[in-house]
Amino acid sequence: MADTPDDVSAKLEQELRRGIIVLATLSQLRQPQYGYSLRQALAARGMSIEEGTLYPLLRRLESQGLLASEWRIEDGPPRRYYTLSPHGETLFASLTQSWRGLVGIVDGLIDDEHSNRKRAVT
Amino acid sequence: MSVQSAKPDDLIEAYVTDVMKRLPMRQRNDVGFELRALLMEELSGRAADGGRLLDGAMTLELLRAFGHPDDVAARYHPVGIPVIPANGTRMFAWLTFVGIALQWAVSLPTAIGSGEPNWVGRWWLTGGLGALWWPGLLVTLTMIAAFIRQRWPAKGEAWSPKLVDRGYVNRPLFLLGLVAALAGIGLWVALAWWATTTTADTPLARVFAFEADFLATRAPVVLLYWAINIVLMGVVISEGRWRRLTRRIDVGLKLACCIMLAWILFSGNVFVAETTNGPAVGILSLLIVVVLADLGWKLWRGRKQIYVPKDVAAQHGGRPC
Repeated sequence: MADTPDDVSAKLEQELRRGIIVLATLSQLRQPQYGYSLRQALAARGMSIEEGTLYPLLRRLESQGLLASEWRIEDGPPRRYYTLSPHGETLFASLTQSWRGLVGIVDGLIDDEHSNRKRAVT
Repeated sequence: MSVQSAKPDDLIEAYVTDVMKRLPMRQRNDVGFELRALLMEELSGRAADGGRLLDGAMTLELLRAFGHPDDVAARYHPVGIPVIPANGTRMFAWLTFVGIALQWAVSLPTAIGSGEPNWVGRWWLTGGLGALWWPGLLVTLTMIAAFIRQRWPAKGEAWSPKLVDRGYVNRPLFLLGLVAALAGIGLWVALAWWATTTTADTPLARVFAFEADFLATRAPVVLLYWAINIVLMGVVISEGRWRRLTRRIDVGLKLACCIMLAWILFSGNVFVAETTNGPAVGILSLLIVVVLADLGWKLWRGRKQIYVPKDVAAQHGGRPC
């Protein structure tokens, strides 16, 4: 059965978000964070990531050498804190540059299209 | 105990245990320990946000939103290497299907023809299930190929075009084929002439004695067919390549060959001796299959690779674009 327009829209938006989850996560790990606090920090900045997506992602990024982690016991249960590894910092800088370039390009494309439509209406 | 009334700790423990079972052994405890703590914290956060006490229903809601343990465990795994690449799944499925179908096509008629009362069970336990070695072999080979791709990845070599000259003719090879065909025809004609004219009652003469009806009606047609083929081969060799006309004649001759062979088969015996005629019938039948397969392959290979879509052709009123 074909997807409804709403399904298609939801899927495309999900794909768009999936592409930036890694960058968003890395951006918040310049300071050590554990899973829950990271999710809260991202949500507080308007980037809600499902826990079922975020927690496994941290492990995958760690296994790729982008994050370093350690168990800490402070006030509460033991928590695993993640932070950028040197390799992760380099990648974060590179991804940030790519992201800014892309945002500029896509903004330009969208603005052009917007202006063309306006001209066509008037 | 109902799930709703279960303690949050127990539900989380059961959930995490289910996830852990699906993880590699070395990861299990560490991930399980962290996941349990995180889920507890998530749950406490939700309860605090909603001003509620922790309960089974809320815990279950959280865990179901987190995902099925299968999916969650899969997310913990690094991105794997596909055993069958996406562009190969169709071919894999076809190879599997055709391989099994061919084996069953051979084993099933034999089982039916055996006349045994329990042939279905016997066939299923032998040829039926036995055919499944084929998909097993394919999976093993694709796994080996995936390992090789991972271990020695392609070095991003630039694409090179594969330009195939479909009209090209290998003259020496064709000439060799022509000589072989002439030798075969000569041998056949000599054998027929000798077996017909010899007065000696030797076993060889009896074995190769042709039916008079075959020599009178069908053999001349065969000779004519061979003569046309030899002329065609000569033309192709002298021109050095296939042209549209010679290709069409070739296809027509192959079709004619099938019809002629079928006519020979259904118009009576070729040899007088049944011991010679039986194998001859088998060889002629096989020849029809081979010629048809060759014809099918040639037509398939010669088809247009890229053709004008119907709606584009309609806009051009059927004229070539």
